[in-house]
Amino acid sequence: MQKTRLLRSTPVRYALVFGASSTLVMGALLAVIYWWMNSLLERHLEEGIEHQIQVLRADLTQDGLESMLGLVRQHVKKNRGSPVHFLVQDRAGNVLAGDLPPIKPEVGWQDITHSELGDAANGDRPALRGRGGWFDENTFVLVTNDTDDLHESRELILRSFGISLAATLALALGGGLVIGVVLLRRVDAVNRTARAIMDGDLSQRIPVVGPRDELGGLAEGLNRMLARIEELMESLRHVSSDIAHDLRTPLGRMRQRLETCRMKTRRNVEYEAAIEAAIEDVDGILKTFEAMLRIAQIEAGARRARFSPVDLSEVAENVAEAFGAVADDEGKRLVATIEAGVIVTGDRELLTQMLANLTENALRHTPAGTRVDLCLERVDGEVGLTVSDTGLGIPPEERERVFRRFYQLDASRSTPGSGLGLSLVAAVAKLHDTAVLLEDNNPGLRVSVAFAGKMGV
Amino acid sequence: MKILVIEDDTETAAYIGNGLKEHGHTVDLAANGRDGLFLAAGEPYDLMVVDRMLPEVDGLSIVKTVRGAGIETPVLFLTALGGVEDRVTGLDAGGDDYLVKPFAFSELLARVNALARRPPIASAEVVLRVDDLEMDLLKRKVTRRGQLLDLQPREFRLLEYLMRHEGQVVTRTMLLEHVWDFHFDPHTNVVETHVSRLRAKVDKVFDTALIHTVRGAGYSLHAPD
Repeated sequence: MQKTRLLRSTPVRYALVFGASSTLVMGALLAVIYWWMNSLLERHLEEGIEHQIQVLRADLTQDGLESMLGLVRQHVKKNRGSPVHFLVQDRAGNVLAGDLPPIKPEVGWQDITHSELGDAANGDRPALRGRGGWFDENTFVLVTNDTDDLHESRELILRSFGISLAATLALALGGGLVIGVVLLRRVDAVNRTARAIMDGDLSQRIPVVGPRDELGGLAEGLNRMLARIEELMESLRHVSSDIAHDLRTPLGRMRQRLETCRMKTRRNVEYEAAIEAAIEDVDGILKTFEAMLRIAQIEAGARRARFSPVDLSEVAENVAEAFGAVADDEGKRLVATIEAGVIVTGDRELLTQMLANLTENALRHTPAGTRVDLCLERVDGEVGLTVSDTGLGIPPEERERVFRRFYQLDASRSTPGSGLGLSLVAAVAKLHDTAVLLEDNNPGLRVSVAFAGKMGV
Repeated sequence: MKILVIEDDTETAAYIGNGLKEHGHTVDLAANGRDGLFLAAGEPYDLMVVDRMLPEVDGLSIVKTVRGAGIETPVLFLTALGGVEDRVTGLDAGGDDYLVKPFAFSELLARVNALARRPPIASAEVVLRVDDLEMDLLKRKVTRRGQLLDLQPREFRLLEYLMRHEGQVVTRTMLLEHVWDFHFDPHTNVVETHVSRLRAKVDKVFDTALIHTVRGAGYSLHAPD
């Protein structure tokens, strides 16, 4: 199992392919070098012999046989133990000079075997290479050179080439295998984590070990992604349970009402009232769904395609006017300070809803007799939209959380409102590339949204 | 009125059809886009109720085709819950109004009536009159029994909308959309508050009321019976 996996591993396969091909290329290269060196050595040897023959032939022509024989004898005497050997013999086969036994005279390049030299033990292996020729009618001259050196050199070259080839192959294959095993082990760690996560343990992380290389970076990147996913899953779980809670309450209430009605009611008016109340409950639930879907749609961002210049001043006036009357009736005051002609690029409908939500939110959390301020102004090329109240405010540590879906400060969820208002505000702000800032109004809450004042007049 | 309802969900179609019939309308039902388009192009209707999502030919294409053929029958689109995008595309395609499913039947009925009796665009009335209430659109003045009423701009718009739909039921949502341009449902009683203020000015000081609350539906402005 482990073996087949190793063979299937990419680095191992690369190593095998590279090892094989580099060995092949190197082998070819070494063969060429070998051939070239061999011929170089042979040529060198032959040139030496050729030179000697020329010298001897010149001597014979100029100074006669005796002088040449003297030269040969001198050479033999002086170079005892040298690889160069001479033979001068007459037609009868008598050796006139030289250090070789008489042989059957042959003209031209030749290899002389050990047996020819009377060394039967080494048989037909060539011992000498030389060139022979008749200098005159009765004088056969053979100059040879020992080829043992040549053979030795050849063997040496071949052996060293073989060793380096084998080493290359071993290194390539072994290195590939080691890299493969190491990589496989690290990838396995990632895989194990992935499997554990798929099995449901989202808290698993890929162990970041070894050098800080690409794989380490990958592991860190994946870990960050996993952390984000875990966070999202956590909030999803939260939202799901909150949805369930928020929907179970009205559904339960509706069920109770209908059941009470079935048990007790005899009169049509009461039935009607019960149906009326049930419809109201269902409408409430539908409203929650509508809000959730709306937020999801806003977050999907498709509406950005419909962005156009929006007169934010007009939107603010409209909202302030609509809710001003409501505030009055509740004994509160909504004070609007709106700079005219503030234009931003955006979605009018959503900006209206955002501001309406913020205003409603402020009014809802403000006791009677206080005021809520709605302010739109241009500061340093930015457009600032602010809704501030003097109510209870939001503790700093809760401020991040209020944008979560279904999050309500009051844990008992007894106050009206779906807990989606601020989520929608945040989604709209994000769609407009901005964010909602919650600050202390001392006392109360100050909510502001800043827009890049693009087309400000 | 003769109304064509193009809706593939049989239960919703029956709900709409039966309800409209009960209110005295003649209703033709089409269960898919092709049949709907065929009917819409072939017969004269006073109004069409078209679902956006239909098999074969979708609602948008139907209305575009019908409008392309020069048929100006008012169209009320039905859209799925949460379809924020749908309203604008629907109106762009030639629809006249939209309604998000699921809806209260009273809402549908009110919108159907408002659409069907919509005054031709050409008739630019200068003075609206209901009983002894008079609205001068040019001078932006409202009088009742000759007595000038002091209205805020938004109250003026609210009253204008009610007067233009004299005798019809106008729902809260319709008012939010047309008077405030709010395409969402606020949690607070914006409409109720403003209507009650308007009532204080239009009705309270006079012995007869013109603005009536229609239980479970909305408001209606008409002369006392």
